[in-house]
Amino acid sequence: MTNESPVIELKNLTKVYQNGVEFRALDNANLRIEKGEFVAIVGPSGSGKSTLMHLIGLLDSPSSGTLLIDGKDVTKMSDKERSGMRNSILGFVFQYHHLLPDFTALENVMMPLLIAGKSREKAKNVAEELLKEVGLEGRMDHRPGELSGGQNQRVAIARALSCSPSIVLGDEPTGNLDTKTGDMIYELLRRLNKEYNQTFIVVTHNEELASKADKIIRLVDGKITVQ
Amino acid sequence: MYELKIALRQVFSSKKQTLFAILAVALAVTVITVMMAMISGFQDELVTSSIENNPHIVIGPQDEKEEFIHLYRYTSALTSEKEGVIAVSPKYLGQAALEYRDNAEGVSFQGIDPMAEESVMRISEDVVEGDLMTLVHTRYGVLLGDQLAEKLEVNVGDRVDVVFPGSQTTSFKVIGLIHTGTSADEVTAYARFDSVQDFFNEPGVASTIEVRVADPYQADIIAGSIERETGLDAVSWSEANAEILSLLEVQSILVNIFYFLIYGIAGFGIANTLITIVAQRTREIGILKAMGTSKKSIMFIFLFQSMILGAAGLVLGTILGYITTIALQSYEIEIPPETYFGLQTLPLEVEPLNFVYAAFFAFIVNILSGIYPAQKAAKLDPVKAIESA
Repeated sequence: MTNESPVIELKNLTKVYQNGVEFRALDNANLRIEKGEFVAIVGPSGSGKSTLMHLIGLLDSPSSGTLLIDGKDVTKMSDKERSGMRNSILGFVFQYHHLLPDFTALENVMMPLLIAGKSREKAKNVAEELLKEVGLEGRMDHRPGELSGGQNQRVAIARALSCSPSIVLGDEPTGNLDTKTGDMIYELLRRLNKEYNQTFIVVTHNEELASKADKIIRLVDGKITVQ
Repeated sequence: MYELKIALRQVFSSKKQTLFAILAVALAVTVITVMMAMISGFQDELVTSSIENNPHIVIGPQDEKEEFIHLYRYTSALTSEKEGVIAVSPKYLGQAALEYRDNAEGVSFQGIDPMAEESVMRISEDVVEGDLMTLVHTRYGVLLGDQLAEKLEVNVGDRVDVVFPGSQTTSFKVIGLIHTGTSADEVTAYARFDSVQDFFNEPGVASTIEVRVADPYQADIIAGSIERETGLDAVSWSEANAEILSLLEVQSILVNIFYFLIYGIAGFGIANTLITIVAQRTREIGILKAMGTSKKSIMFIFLFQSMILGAAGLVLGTILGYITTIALQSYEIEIPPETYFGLQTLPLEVEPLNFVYAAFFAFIVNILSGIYPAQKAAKLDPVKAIESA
């Protein structure tokens, strides 16, 4: 397995913000993440955790360096190609669920599939399956406003998984939930990780949760230390 | 088309904004369709009345030094032979005074052949008392404009004296009254052609020859050919009313500027609504981008929204415009006849094409005003958009 090329590879990846003063949010980061790994990113706030997430998630572009996803250099891609990759290879779970408020749970989970151009029928089948998987079979036609925080976060997880991404990114996915619900969500992510052999990268403040990961990446002042 | 689906959901979830944006477009379309109906109705009416109340072509002497057409019989015969000409009517026009008891009025004393004049000008339609055809067998009969008769205080059956320096004062019997609704009613007196010639001691000449043609829009061409063949001056109704017609052109330029401004205001209304929606939905736009929605698709989502708002607005607007036009049409607004060329009510014309134009331009304006907000949405930085609270 280790001989296989890594899912994600960072080579001297740097992100500098020029906001009057130069701020190196990520400084010469080098990192390899293998397929199926569950990786936790920890570090104090302002250490560059989110920046790293956004770069890997193709939501932001690096100032210099190379980022390879599935062996492809994504730093030189067009908006269309990057959008396509976000849709097919990446899945996002944010601290806040960020579901579309005007759509039901089912429709929210269907959305990435519809964006990918899948038929409604296909999208519906996949979405129903996933919502059952996260334990929301009775709540499919509810809108985010009618669901609890934990339920919405589970919908968000189902949405992140809908296009069978090879990488799932979580930006403090349990940060907004109480400890018990948070643990439950974390367990769910871990279970899905094992079940589908998808790569999970999760930013967290919670050392206890981080300790359950396969690999912990510590960030301090934009610099990486791997444990 | 998930873009359309998202657009529909977003538009209809912010009901108040949607309603106001739709009303702005609807109002613009209503105002414009009603104005178009008024203006095209007015212009049509004006052109029709120009065609109906004037001879289509008036043949006059060669140049200003000449007072008369000498060979009017020959010219009349030649003209009536021409293709497209329906009728000709030679006329003698003179200035004289009419006297009745202590009243005297200056008049345009016109000598006509009643049959010929009727076939050119259809004046019997304007005869309100008496009968035009009585003139055929009444050598000293006269028809007066009703306003003129009122000023002279004469009635049908009375006799008036026609006075002109150098002419024998002659007594004419009033055999009818004419009402055209124009200022001509104050000055016109019609008598038989030969009687007026004799009165002015100018037998064998005519002042003008009036011509009626089958198609008024061919009048220019026919007038040109009469000029070439007879060497006389021939003026078509459109040439005679050139000032009014050019006024109509100026008016339509002004009106178009006005339409442009109204559409502009409606367009800003739509743009404003969409900018608000984009601002409110910033985070959702970020999420859509994270899910893999391309810039192009984000643009489409918001262009669709402006189209939905626009389409709803223009449908509502054309319906309201139609209802308003019909309502105004059936409501007869009295206006003084002097002001509006003898029009008695506001002429409104329901021209289907006008509605199509109004709706079409409203839709174009909507798409244009959607472009800026849509671009703004497409250009949003997904990270900042998601983090915005």
